[in-house]
Amino acid sequence: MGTLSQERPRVLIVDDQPNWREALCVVLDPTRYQIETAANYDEAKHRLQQRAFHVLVADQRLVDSDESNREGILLLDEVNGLQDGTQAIIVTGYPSIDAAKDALKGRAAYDYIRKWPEKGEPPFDIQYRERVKEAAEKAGLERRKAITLGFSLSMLINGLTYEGIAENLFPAGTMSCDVVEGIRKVVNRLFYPLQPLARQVGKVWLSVSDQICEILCWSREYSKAALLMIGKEQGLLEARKVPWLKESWRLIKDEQFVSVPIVGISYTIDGMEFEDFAALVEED
Amino acid sequence: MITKRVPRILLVDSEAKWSQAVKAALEERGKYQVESVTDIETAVHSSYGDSFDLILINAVLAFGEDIPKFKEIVRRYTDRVLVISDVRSLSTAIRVFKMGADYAEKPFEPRRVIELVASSLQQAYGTAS
Repeated sequence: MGTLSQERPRVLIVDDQPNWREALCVVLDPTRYQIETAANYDEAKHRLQQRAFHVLVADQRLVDSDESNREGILLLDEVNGLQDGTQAIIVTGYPSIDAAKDALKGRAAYDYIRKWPEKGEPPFDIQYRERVKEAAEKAGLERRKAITLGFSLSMLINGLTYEGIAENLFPAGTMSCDVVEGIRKVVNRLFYPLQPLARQVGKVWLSVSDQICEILCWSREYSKAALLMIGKEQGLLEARKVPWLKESWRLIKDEQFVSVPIVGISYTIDGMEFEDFAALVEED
Repeated sequence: MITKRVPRILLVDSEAKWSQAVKAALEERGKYQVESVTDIETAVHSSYGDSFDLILINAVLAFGEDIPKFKEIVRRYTDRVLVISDVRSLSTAIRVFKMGADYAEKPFEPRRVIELVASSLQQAYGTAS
């Protein structure tokens, strides 16, 4: 089971100047981080939507010719909207008290670093490397607190049946009604934090038919689309066929477990690209 | 009828003349109630009980010999702390903002502190006082 905390932290570096973009990458140890780069606001926004990063490093001014440009700081709004613990570091060659306040106090940046430090301060590369390390650790901690959609559930629920769930949680032969109750609790605990998250993804289908809610959303942890189904009452019998999916699934009802009142099941839809997902939701 | 409570301010500055002038300006027409102390040790003691609406502290005292004491104040008051710096310093400002507190440069005119206090209170409480 690979969680983000066990993976190499993902870092997104955003700077409009190629030489700085490169420098910001080179300073970081590539065996320690998975690094992606973006050259402007839109590209950075797109990448943030596609996958979850531990750390965003953004240059304050993303259009070099525009002295008033502070798009790097505005990216913090994107990060904060996603609420997945990403820590943002603003770097700049044009620091100001006003911009620092906006970034740190106004938009909860992790740090604000000057590319040309004052006399007596550590060199930029040392400060930068240290801050990215700290920020990645903090993001890992935050993330462990937050449960993200399509990740925990699909990890937990490997099979489509309660049995499948139980097998993931308990050694063979120890399953009982208590176990089922335990699963119900776990699933509920997992599900409730997911709802706001699903909304954050912004593009969510929520169709409530008799007993089943279906939520389609983009799992940024997995970079895959995910479908979450919630049965409101006992007996989540058969998943509705979702028109755009090639397969339909059958949920096997296990007689043993019919008394379970609420369940949630998520599917990770392999092979779907973010673009396809976005287009799909646009159509709707 | 609800009577409006006068905001209480703790002024922490070692410069007596300045403190006197600021206190006088803030207390004019009963707008604010000011308690003035000259060192961080006393400030920590005075600040217990969360009885102030704003703590106005000189940067030299805040980041002086006893930073843990200042951190303790910020931990309890967070955005209700305004650090006043004698000199313009981006490094100090960044440190202050990272802690969640507010930063301003010391104005020449003690009366101008009134604006800074009003602005900080507004940020902290979301309303003009």
